Amino acid sequence: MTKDTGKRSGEVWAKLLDEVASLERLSQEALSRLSQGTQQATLNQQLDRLERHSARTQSIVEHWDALLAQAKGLKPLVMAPARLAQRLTGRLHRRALLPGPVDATVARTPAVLFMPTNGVGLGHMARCLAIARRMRQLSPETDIIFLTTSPALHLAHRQGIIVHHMPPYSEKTFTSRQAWNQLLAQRLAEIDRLHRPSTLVFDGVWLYQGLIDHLERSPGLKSFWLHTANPNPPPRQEALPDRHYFNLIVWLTGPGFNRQEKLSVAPAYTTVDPIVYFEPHELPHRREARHQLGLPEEATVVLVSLGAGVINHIFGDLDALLQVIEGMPGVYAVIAETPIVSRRIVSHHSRTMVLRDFPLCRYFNAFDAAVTAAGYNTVYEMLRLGVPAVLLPNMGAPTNAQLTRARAAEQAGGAICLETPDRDSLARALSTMLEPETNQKMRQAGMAAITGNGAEKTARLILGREASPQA
Amino acid sequence: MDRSGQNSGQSTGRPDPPEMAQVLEQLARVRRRHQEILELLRDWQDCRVGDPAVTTRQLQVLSQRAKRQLEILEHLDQLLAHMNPLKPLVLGPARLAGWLGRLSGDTARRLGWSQRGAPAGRTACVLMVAVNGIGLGHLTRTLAVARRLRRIDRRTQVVLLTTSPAVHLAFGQAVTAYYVPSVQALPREHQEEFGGMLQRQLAALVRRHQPGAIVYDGIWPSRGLLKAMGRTRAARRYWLRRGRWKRPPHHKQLRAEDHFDLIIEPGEVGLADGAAAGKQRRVDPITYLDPGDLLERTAARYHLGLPLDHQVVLVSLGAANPAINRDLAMVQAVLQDRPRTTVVIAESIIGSPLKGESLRARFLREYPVSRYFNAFDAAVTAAGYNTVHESVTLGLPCVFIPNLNRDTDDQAARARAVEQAGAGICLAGPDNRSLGRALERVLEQETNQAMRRACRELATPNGADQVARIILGAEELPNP
Repeated sequence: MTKDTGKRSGEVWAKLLDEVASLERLSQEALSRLSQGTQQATLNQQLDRLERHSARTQSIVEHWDALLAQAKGLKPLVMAPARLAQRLTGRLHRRALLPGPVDATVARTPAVLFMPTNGVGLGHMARCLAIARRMRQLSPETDIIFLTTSPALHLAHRQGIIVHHMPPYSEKTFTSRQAWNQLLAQRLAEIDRLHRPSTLVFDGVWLYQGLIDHLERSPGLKSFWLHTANPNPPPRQEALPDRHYFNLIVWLTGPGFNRQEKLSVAPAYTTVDPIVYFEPHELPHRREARHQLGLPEEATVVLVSLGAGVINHIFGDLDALLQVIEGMPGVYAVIAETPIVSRRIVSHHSRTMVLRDFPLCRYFNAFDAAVTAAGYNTVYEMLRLGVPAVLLPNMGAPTNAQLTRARAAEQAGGAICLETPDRDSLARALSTMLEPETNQKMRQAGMAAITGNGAEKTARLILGREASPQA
Repeated sequence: MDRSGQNSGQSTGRPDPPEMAQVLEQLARVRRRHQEILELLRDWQDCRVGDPAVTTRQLQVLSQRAKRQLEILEHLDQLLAHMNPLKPLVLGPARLAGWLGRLSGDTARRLGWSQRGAPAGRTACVLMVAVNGIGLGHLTRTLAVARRLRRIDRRTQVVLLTTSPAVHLAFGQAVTAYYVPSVQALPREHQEEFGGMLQRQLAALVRRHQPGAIVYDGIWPSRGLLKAMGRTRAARRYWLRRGRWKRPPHHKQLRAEDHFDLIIEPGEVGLADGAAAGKQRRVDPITYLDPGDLLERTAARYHLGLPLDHQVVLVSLGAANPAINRDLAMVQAVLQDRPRTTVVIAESIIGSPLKGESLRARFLREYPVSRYFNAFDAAVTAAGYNTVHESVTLGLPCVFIPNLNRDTDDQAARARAVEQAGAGICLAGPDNRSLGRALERVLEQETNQAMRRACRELATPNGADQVARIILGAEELPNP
């Protein structure tokens, strides 16, 4: 036992020394990079300061290293009891920081808690809102609660949903990820005490420790994970073996996204069609939609929606794009601005207007074509609601595989994918798409590519009205 | 037990606790340095000197590296913590000392929040609290000040706690926003838990961010708020309190004044500048945008897709108006057959959606609408603080329909004050005929111009700048 512990502590020690070494290397690298800095006087001044800081850091680290080296011979003696105690108390310790356990005897209510955890855009939020809307229709008496990191929480609030919120992790605000996860667990516990929901629906890419802690502590809670069925998931996601915390994984499929294999640690899973906010028959007709936007009935109108503009540099693309559209006689452009960006787009042309509204697809019948990024909601809405689109996949987005989706949409015949757009290719794609015959054909192909709306099925699954498969 | 561990440790030649303490102290220093480096890098990124592309990329790499270093340090710290059972023994006294140091007002001096003298380095945190109701009024005023805090000193960290769901307005302004649902948003059976929830959140916020100043915008500070404020000894506390009360404040409200260092009252059109009595301080009216922030007429019309040759009337009746549908119908009936006229209905971004989109009116779901004021020839609006002062400061002739159902806010008095100055029309309890007449008047060229002139005469500098300066200590305060 002692020997084993000693061995493990030896590993820890080696790791620690490795870390020190790599720290040293990193600070040296940083220094060398800094010395190649620009010639600007102010910058140099700042660089000097940074260099001094870094040098000092390094000397401290060295000193520290030396100190630790002296203590090296003693480590098993120190480590063994400590590791043992840590093993015994680690989890307890983490839980001690949480608010007191919720009284399990208080019965759970049928309320459903959604957790859309957003990065930059509105994707997860919009998806959860679409499902929540179906749930309202199917079961008006069920309380719906959101806990979100998205600043766009007013969208949920206006629909009569009780919204709780916490800021997303950022190094400026939180000292560590651990601190953020603690806050998350606290918020979850508070919500659990307040509403006693019986179902939790998590829509996010990464699992958070705070959520896992909460699920572990809440045995009676039914849990779902909405997850894009991405055939090429990023590595970090695969490394997480934590899927068994959920009762059901809902794979969101769609053209290009059809991963269906069984998972190694197998919870139950099911697949649903793309989730789209409106059904085609719910939209106002072309004439009405145009009136609502103040657009002439006979004109050709192109929707431009390049996403949140936080990841991609939408302003560079946008100017070139607008010049192309403004150069086409009689064509109007409607630029869609997401409701959360603070830097505003300004229109300089009488045939260009800016629209800031949610859900945008309410107006889809007003548009003859679109130029958009290739996020989940946008692409599948375009296809399902029949707007032929030029897709400009955002290569910078880390997880949502816009390129795969855009290519699949092109193959289905409902869109044109432009990986490296320039003026000529854009103008060509647009004029092709605006030819009446092609336009009609693309419209039909797109609508045929997506046969159902996953929002309804997901809502049924959550409400327990559709039997979920067993693991 | 710890003590015995320490003794045996010494006898077998373990590192002395002081040595460990040294290590820990140095580790803390390393982390502080790295945080400084990160700060520095962030500042650069904001400055963007030199070739922006190169610099930005380089700085990104650097900041990633520095971040990684911090991570490693943190990891090391954790490892060390596991390794060292003596840590509490060593750290205990150190923490105690630090705590005592804070108590002694050291923090106050270091952050420049001491009672006298100009602040030295203003890298402090300002906690702004806007927790009254669901509306946008309090949040808007708070954000107006927050924007300007950052404009005066970019290093100021602004933390916001609000019950208004329009949190996204804080997004992109480097404001860390926390939202709690307001009492009204919770189901009735949970409403009594609101106070506790708010208090817990506030206490956690104060612990986490250690604000140097707290700014409360609202009419009735809750006990939880006062309690949480009491915990921050170094903080200056401000109460941003709208004037124009319907009835004199409750004695409890007046007693709450004791918990604040300064009561800032944003000015009102038509209210005389009260002398700065005691802790009270009057500033000019606060608006979110300044005239320079607005789109000019053509751009605004392009932006909204409005015809250039029409007269455009904005209708914005507020989320809290119980008779909104009746009033809307009235406006539409009045303007329906008016040639070359477009109606734009501003729907509250947080209220429930309005029913019955008509073909005759355009809907605008945006905030702040004042950004597009130059696109409009006139407006029909409620008479809340923000709307009225926006219309006066930014020069838009309005027909005001005061909401008479507010508890504390005397909208009718405000609207009448503007009418008396010739800068708008007040219509309490309108009908089709009176509304029609009022609209014809504001849309008539000469009256319209006269009203715009009257607005210009009433306009004052933006009080938000003054409030920001007061909070950052750049303006002398009355002696308590």
